[in-house]
Amino acid sequence: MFIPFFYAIRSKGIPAGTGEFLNFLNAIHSLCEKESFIGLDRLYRVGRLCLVKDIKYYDSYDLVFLEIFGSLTFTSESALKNLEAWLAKAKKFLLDEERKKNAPKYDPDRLLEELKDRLKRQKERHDGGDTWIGTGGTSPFGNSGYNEQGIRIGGEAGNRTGIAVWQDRKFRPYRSDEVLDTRKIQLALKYLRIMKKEGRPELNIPKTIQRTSDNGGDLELIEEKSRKNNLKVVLLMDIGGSMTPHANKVSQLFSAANKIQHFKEFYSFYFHNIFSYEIFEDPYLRKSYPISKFIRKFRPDTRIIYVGDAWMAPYELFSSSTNPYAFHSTRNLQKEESRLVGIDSLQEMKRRFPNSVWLNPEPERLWWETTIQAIGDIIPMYFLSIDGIQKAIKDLLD
Amino acid sequence: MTEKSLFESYVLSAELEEAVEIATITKRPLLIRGEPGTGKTLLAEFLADKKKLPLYSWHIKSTSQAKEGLYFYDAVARLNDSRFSSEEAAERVQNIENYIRLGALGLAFEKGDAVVLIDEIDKADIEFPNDLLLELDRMEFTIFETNRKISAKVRPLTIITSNNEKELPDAFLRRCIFHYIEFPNRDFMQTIVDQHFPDLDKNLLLRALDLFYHLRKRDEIKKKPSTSELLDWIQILVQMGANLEDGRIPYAGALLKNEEDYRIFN
Repeated sequence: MFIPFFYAIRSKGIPAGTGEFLNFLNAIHSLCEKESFIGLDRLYRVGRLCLVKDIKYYDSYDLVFLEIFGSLTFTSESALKNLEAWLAKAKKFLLDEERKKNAPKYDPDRLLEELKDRLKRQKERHDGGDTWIGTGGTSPFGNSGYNEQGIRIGGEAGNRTGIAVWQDRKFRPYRSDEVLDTRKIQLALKYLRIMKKEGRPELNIPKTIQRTSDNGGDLELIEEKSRKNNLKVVLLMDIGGSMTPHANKVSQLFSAANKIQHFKEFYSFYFHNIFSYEIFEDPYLRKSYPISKFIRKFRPDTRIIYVGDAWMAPYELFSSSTNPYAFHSTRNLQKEESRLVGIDSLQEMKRRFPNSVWLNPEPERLWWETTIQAIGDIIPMYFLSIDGIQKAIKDLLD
Repeated sequence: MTEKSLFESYVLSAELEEAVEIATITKRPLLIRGEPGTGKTLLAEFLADKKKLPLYSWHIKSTSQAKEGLYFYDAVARLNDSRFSSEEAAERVQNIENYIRLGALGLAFEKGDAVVLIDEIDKADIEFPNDLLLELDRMEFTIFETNRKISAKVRPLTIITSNNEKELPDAFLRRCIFHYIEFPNRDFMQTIVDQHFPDLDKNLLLRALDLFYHLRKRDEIKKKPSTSELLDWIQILVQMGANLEDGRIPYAGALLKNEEDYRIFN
């Protein structure tokens, strides 16, 4: 019974090994000796203790557990009680909308019977229908659908009494492939430390004393160079426009980066969609900073992290005059420079600073877009998630 | 009311108790993670007290070496004894065993039936936990200088805490039972506060919890206050006789440790 469970866990990318599985069986075995019955809640917790070693996998574990043991929940007595309480509550939210007229209606008792029946018979996923448990549609069971007297199963709800922890998916925020928070980004950015020993060697007194004592009193001087992080990092961020929905993510990345003090140099600049001849020092795009100056100022070993959705009208990337303000500018120089094409500037930057990556908050399934592809061809692109940042950083350091 | 020591008023949650039980059954170290201030360290003291076992704590610092927890060879003292010897010292110097001092793990292995706490294991170097793999697995080690083998007849109950500062190596994780301490919900928090302040006015308690959970819910707060901070704060409220009815948060400094957070509420 537990072997499919174990493999389901592994198939979700939770790194559990044979040793852990044996631990789990061992634990279950000795618990069974003490008491004749292990509740589902207990099984859930014991499994998690033994098989899941990081909170970032808790959510995956919840999903697997639901998949393997989920249907058992409703037949256990306590869960049924929950369900009844839940039904009593749901009655108070009866709505009167015409479009739901055709939805099947059951009184609470019947509903419960029907649900049990469904749980027994339903073998696969059903969405959009009017009978089975699923999402959408007018079935009384499931979520995101319409049914006056139905039961919401899973999904989001305001007044749920909570049938089981593993359905709440409360560990979702801890997934590393999904959600970012400042602290996690900071942790990820910490990988950006290249410690190099440099400077004049200094006498290491504790080590000298230790070594001398080990030698039985023959003096041996230990000199060491101090370690310093030599990394120069520049963060270049797309701001405004199509990036607005991602503002939160980006600001988290920014505040995380800002808190990190261990770089030798850390700067951030801004642009809108793409840059041609200038970027900006402030997020309001007022203080201009010419690319030519940028290239002079930073050494080629500077690491550059671009953040942006790389999603724009193709002309913005492939033709000149990307900046309407520059177009109206009276200064000749700016007019001259405004003929630079975004994609060329990017290429130039890449040539000058070979260690650069692009973090994209758009999901990867959208990366077939012309401009995203074009930019991704020049600069390696990664999804803006903890995993993505870690991969990007590995790439940056090579 | 006599002053209770911290761990005496510690409340063990059912889940954590279960975690300890599983760790005992599987004879694996129990790795505990959770927000700072959720009583990870106190757990070991509490367990040692409850089971009447000696507790050996090893508080990890950023400079800690894995060997330190096992034993330490005091070469400097030996050198000193040999150079400036009294008669007694001259005798001592003959036996290298006199200069071996066991660390927390070493002492626990020798004792066997004990509780070991390895506190904040993530503070040390990234490779640190890997250096302890074999020792934790076999619960034995050899003192290099004397070739003496220290091995545990009974596996001590090992509690390891971590603050999530660093990722721990997989090989290490594989050998542990893992438990994440969730932040206590309101009801459990009330139990905890009751334990610590049994004479506390009910209204004050409820109001304080309201404010506390309200603070924790605010996303803009950089460093969210923890259980231990709540307890400190209630302590202050009780001492100073403050009143929570006017909508302000008195002595907010006990809860909010970040300058910006502090400014928002003052």
